[in-house]
Amino acid sequence: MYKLRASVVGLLLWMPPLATAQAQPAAQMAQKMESTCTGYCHGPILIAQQRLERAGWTREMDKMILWGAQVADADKDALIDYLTRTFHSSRPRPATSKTVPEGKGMDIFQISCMSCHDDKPVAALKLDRAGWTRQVDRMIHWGAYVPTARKEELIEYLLMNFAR
Amino acid sequence: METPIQLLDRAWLTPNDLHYIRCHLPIPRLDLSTWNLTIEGEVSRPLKLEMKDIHGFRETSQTVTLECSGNGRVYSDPPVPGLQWEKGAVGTARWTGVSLRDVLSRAGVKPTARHIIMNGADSPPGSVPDFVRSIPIEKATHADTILAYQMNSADIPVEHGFPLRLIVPGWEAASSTKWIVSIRVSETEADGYFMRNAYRIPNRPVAPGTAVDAKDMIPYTALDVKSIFTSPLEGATARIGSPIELRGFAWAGEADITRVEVSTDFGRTWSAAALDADKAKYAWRRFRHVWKPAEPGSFVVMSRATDSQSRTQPIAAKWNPAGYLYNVIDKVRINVQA
Repeated sequence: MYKLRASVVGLLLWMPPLATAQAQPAAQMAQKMESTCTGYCHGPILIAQQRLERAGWTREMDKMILWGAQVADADKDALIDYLTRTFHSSRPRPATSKTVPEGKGMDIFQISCMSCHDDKPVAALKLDRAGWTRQVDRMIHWGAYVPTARKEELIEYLLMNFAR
Repeated sequence: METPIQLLDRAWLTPNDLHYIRCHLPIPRLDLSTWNLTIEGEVSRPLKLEMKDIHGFRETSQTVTLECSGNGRVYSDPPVPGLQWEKGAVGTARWTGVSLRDVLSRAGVKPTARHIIMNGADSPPGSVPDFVRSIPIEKATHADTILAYQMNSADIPVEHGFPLRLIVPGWEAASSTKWIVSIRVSETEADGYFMRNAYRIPNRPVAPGTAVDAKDMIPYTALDVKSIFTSPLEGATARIGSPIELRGFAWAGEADITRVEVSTDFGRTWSAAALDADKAKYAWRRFRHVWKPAEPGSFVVMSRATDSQSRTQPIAAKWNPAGYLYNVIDKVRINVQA
């Protein structure tokens, strides 16, 4: 299953860029999640590590609200939907002790990219900065979660280790 | 923040800047000129100690392997919430300070005392529960339980509890309160989220994914027997005929490691690994086993530790809702090339 999915992503990586004017609900929800859930108490990586089903995310949301998280009633279900869809239990588990190129941004690569596919389709691409920026934007559009504040760091990592 | 295991591999004692970090609340920055530790509750003479008072007690040291009891949580199937530790939420340091028993003795513990409740200077935002833990009086007054002001011969780094932290050797690390400012001697254990809800496991093995009733959840204290490979890493390459050293660490909480065995044939046969001479009562042992691959292919090597309480690492995980105390036989895949 893992390998199959990796090869599918490998094919998808070659698809032409999408129109930039198109709405990006995944990216919007990621921003909503960051503004609602991350900041003072914990960062986005804690969320991005998790692999939970809806019941699990609902429990976590209720616990956080009990502990003082400010979540508007109107946003709660949409956030649980987003969390369940993006950080669901059928994702491969993070594999931080696996061999990938070391360097700044490695943790984002492992958490944001390798939680859907392994590094083979990435290693197969040899892209320049513009190319990696497009690929990262495309993956975000398709639902990959990359912490907003660390997107450039991820692109630098890809450029450093998987450049043309 | 866990330590990449290839960095753990470097030495028996984990350098301060590589030791894993787990903080439940924002790290407090404390000023020694205003810092003090209060001892109160079921004592005859409540104390308020400054650091110079702490230094007035007899100095003692313990080399201790601390492990977050959620280390290995990522292997829970189905997955469970929490920090998704892999293997590196563990480290070993030499802690120097004073015996908590001596401090409690000066305060005069009353016969009614059953527990000590520890609180650090870290304070919770909003309505997040404070991180307060307790340990039974027997462990608190054990000579090896210390209030430490040094980690590997240096002042304790702020993220590890400067200026003073409790070290409860052999127990899950959440009992080793960082930035400690208050010890309340009590007839009862601490009452709060981090005693009543967290750090508990089911009172019997449950089917993976089971929602366990709170009344069936029990606390745990000492760490179980465990081993991990620190070299080579998952997916490493070896060559036929070229010896490769398989090495790692094994620990067992309050017990001693008596044996580590390694298998290079998917667990069919096991060989005793060599244990390094470095040892301490509550510290891990390094194990080594040289393997000379004889045929090409993709192999899984395994490590299995046994301790002085006759406990051996299990083959399968006993799933629990928060992924605590994972200690299954460690496995690493190595690809052997011609």
